[in-house]
Amino acid sequence: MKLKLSLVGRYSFLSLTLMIGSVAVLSALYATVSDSVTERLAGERLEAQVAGTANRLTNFIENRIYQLETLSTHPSMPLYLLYSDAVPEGLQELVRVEADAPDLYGILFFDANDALTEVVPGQAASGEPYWGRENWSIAALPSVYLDNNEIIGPSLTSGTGPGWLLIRQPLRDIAGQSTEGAIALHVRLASLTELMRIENLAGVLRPFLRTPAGDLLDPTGNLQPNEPEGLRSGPEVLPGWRIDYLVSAGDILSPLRNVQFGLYALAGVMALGIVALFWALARSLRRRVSRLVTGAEAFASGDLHFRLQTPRNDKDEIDVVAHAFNAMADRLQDMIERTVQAEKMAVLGEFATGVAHEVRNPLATIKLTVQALEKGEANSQRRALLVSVEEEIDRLNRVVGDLLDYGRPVAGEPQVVEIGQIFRHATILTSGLAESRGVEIQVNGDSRLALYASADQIIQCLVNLIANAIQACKAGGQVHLQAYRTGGSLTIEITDDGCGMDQQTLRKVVEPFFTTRQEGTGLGLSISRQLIELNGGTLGIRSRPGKGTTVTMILPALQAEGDSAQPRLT
Amino acid sequence: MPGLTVRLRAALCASGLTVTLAFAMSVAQGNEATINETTSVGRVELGAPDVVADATVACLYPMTGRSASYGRDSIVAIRMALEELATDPAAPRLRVIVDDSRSKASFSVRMAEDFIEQDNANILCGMVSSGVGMAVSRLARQRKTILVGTDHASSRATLEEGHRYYFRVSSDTWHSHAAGARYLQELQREGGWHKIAFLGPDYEYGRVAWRDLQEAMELYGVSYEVTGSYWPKLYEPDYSLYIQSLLESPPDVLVVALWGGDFTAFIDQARTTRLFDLMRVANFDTGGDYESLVALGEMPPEGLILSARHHVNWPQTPLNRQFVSRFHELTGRYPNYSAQGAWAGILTIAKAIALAGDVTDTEAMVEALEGLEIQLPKDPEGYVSYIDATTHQIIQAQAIGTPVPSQEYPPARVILGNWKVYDAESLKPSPSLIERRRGRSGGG
Repeated sequence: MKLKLSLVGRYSFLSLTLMIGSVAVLSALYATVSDSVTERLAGERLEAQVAGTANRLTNFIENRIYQLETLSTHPSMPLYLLYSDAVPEGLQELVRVEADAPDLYGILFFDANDALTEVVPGQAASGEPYWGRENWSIAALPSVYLDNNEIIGPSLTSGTGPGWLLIRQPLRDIAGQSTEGAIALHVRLASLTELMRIENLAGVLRPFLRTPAGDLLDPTGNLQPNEPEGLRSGPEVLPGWRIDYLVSAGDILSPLRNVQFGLYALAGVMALGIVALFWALARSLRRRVSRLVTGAEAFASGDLHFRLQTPRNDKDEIDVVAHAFNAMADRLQDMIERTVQAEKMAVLGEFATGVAHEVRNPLATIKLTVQALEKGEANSQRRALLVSVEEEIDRLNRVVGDLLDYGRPVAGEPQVVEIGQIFRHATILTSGLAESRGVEIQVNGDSRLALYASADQIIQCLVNLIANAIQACKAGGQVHLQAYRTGGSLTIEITDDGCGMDQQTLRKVVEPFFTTRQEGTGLGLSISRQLIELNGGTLGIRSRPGKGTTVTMILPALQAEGDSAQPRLT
Repeated sequence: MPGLTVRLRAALCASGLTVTLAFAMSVAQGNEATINETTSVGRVELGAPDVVADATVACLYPMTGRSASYGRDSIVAIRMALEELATDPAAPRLRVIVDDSRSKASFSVRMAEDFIEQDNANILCGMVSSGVGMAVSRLARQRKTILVGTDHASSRATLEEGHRYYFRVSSDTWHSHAAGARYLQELQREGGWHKIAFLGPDYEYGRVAWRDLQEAMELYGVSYEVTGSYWPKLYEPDYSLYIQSLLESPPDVLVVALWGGDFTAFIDQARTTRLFDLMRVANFDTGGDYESLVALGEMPPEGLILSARHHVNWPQTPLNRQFVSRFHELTGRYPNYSAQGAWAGILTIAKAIALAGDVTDTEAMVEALEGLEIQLPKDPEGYVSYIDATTHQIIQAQAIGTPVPSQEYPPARVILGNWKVYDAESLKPSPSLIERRRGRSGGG
C-alpha cells in the first residue's frame, strides 16, 4: 500500500514548520532589536563622542598653556636663562612643584637659539634631557603655533621610552622688551592620547590622534603602524592635530551576530535531527504497520491461523493493536468454526431425517421380505446370500442410526456413575476387538472416582475411542486408560502407542465424515465429541506421528461432600 | 629573638659592634617588645634624642597615597633595627627622622634640604620612588651628604648618576631584570617564546627597568621581538586602554614593572579579560611582594612569574625566618619588601659609623661603606651581602618564582614557590657595562 503522506510525515512536516517559523520570527525580532542597538550605539551619539573627545584634548592643552603662562609671565623667570644662580628660592620651589605635575616630565628652558639651557625634572622625569642631553634635540620635530604658544612634537614612543611633546612660550627680559628665550612644559604624550578613552563605546568607536607629521597614534600613545581602513577624519584639536576615528560597530555586535549565526546553525541541526528522527520513526512505524496489514490481509484471505508476533508486554500502541488483532483473530476463528459446525449440523440433521424417513422404512420392509425369503429358502447357498443381504441391511440401518444420532443429538439423563464401572463396561465391550488385534488394554486410576453424566453416552464414547485406539495399534500394542481428578473435573485419558497422526490430520480428525479407514463412516469421533459436549465436557487430542495418540475427556466430576457446586452424590 | 640577635651580632661583629639580646631580655622580663604603629602621616622621630645622638639619619618615605604601605612597613623595620642597636652599648646611638615624601620629587628635595639645614642630618636615607630618589641623590651630590637608598631601584642611581655619596642597600632594576633575563632565557629554551612587551610606570623606575631588561636579554643572547612598550602614569587608576592594546597585539611574554597598588590594580583588571590566556605575565622586581601576593587571592591568574626585593619565604634561613616572624609579632602582619631595605639601611649606617668612628667624617664614612659586608635576611645560606665599591650598590642573589597555594602566611592564600635562584656575583654588572653606562648619562 503506497501512502501519499503518512501520519508521521505530517507530524514531521508540522514540527519542522513550527520550528522554522519560530526561528524565523525570533530572527526577525532579533535583527530588529540589534539594528536598533546598532543605531543607538553607532549612530548619532558617535559624533557627540568624537566632539567630546576633541574637547577633552583641547581642554588638556589649554590647561597646560594656562599652567605655562603662570610660569612664563613671572617677572623673575628670565633669570633661569640669564643668571640661574640668582633665581629666588621661592621661584625655584614654584617651578619644581609645577614640574611635579603628573602629566609632565619636567620644565625646560631654552635660549634664544633654541639651545636647552636648564631643566627642572618632575617626578616622571627620566633619562634625557634631565640626565644627559647629548642626543636630545627638537630640531627634527614638527612645530605648530597656537597664539603665543608653540607646540613642538610629538617625539614618538621609541624602544627606550615613551613619547612626549613640548608646549613652549617665550620668555622676555625683565623689561619685557626682547625675547631672551623660552620656557616649555615637557608633556607626556600618553597624558594627551589617554584622553581619547571612549567610555561605553569601546569597540564601536576607535579614536586616533593624527599628528602634524601625519603619524597616527593610538590611545596608549603608540604609533599605529598601519592605517585602518575606513578611518574618518574628525575635528581638529590643535593646528595640525586632529582626531581621526574608526567606527566598527561590528566589533561590539560581532558576538551578537555570532550568537545569531549560532542560533541558525542550531536550528538547522535541530531541523536535520527532527527529519532524521521522524524518518527513522516513519520507517519503523511503516514496517510494523505493514505487518499488521499483512496479518489482516492473510486473515481476510482465509488463513484463520495467522497470528502476529507480539512481545509479552506491550511496549507501545502498535503492540496493543497487535495483541488486539490476535485476540480478534482467536475469537473470529472460534466463531467461524462454530458457525460452520452449526451449519454442518443443521444440514446433517435435515439429511439424516430425510434419510431416516426415506431409507429406514423401505429398509425395514426389505429386511422383513429378506427374512421371509430366508425362511422359505431351502437352498443353503441362496439362504446364505439372503443372510448376507440381511447383515448389510443391518449395517445400513446402523449407519442411518449414527446419522440420526449425530444430526439430532439427544442429551442423556445425567447420573452419578463410578469410573470403575464405566471402564469395566467399555473394556468388556472392546475386549473382543482387542484380542483379535493382539492389543492389550491397561486401566489405571482410582476406580472410586465418580462423574455426573449419562453413563450410556459416556460408555458409548469410551468404547468408540478405545476401538479407535486399538485399531491404531499394531499387534502387541497397548492402550492405557487412566482417570484422575483435576479440580471440579474428571479427566479420562485413552493413550495408545499406535501410528499417531500428523498436525494436518489432527486438525480434521473430529470433523464429521473424516476418516483414515476405508470401512469407517467418519462419524465415530464426531459423535463422541458431540456426546461429551452434551454432558458438559470437552474432548482433546494430542498425537505425534509414529509415537501414538492420547485422547483426553474432561467431564464434570461428582462433587465431594461439602462442595457447594452440583452435582453431588446423594 | 636569640637567633636573630646572634645573626645580627655575627653581622656586626666584623665592625666591632656588639649586639646584645634586647628582644630576648625583654621577653625574659615579661615585657614583650611591641611596636605601637602609628598611623600618622607626618614627621616621626625615632631612636636617641638629638642631644645624645651620635648621628642623625633623615629618611623620606611615602606615608600617604597608594605607596603608603611601603613607608609604614619601613618605619616598623627602622624601629626594629633601632631596638637591635639599642641593646649594644658600643653601637652608635642613632636619631632617625622619618617624614612623608608624598612621592613628589620637588617636595622631597625641599624636605631633604631642610633635614640637612635645620635638623643637621648627617645621613639621608629611604625613598621608594626612583624619581624622588634620583632628585634627592642629586641634592646629596651637591651637598656632599651621604644618601643610603633603601627601596628605590633605578640602576641609573648607581650607574650613570652614581656618585661618591650615594649608596643603595636594596637590589636595583639591573639585578632584578638581569635575573629576569636569565629566567626568560631558560623559558625560551623550554617554551620558545619570541614576542615580548613591556608595561611599566612612566617615570624613572619603569624606564630604566625596561632598558635594563633589554640590555640583559641582549647580554644573555635572548632572541626577542618587541610588540610594544606601554607607559601608564604612576598611580594610574585604569589600565583598560593598555590591556585592550595588549589584547589586540598580544606578545608571548609581558613584563610588567608596575608595583604596589598599581600592579594589583592592573592584575585585577587584566584577570577579567583573556590576557592571561594569551601571554605569560612577569614582574621581576616587585610583583612577588607580600601585599601583591595577598591581593592575588586564592586563585591567581595562570602563568604569573614573580619576584621581589625580599621574600617572606625565601631564603629559608634562620635570619630571614626570624626577621619575618618578628615583624609579624610586632605588627600582626607580614612585611612587604621595603621593610628589609629599611632594616638593612639603618644597620648598614650603624655599621659604617662604627667603622668610620665619626659620622661627620664623610670621607671616612664613604670608605667604610664601600665594600661593607652585612648579613641580611635576603642572603641565602653561606652568602653575605656587600656594597660594591665601584657602584655603591649592594650585591645580592635574586630568586624568581611562581605563585603556589599556601596557608603559611595569612591572609595571603598563595606564596611564591618553584624558585629559580640566581647567585649574586653572576648578576653583577660587568666592568664594561658599568663603563658604558657611566659613559652616557641619558638614554632613558
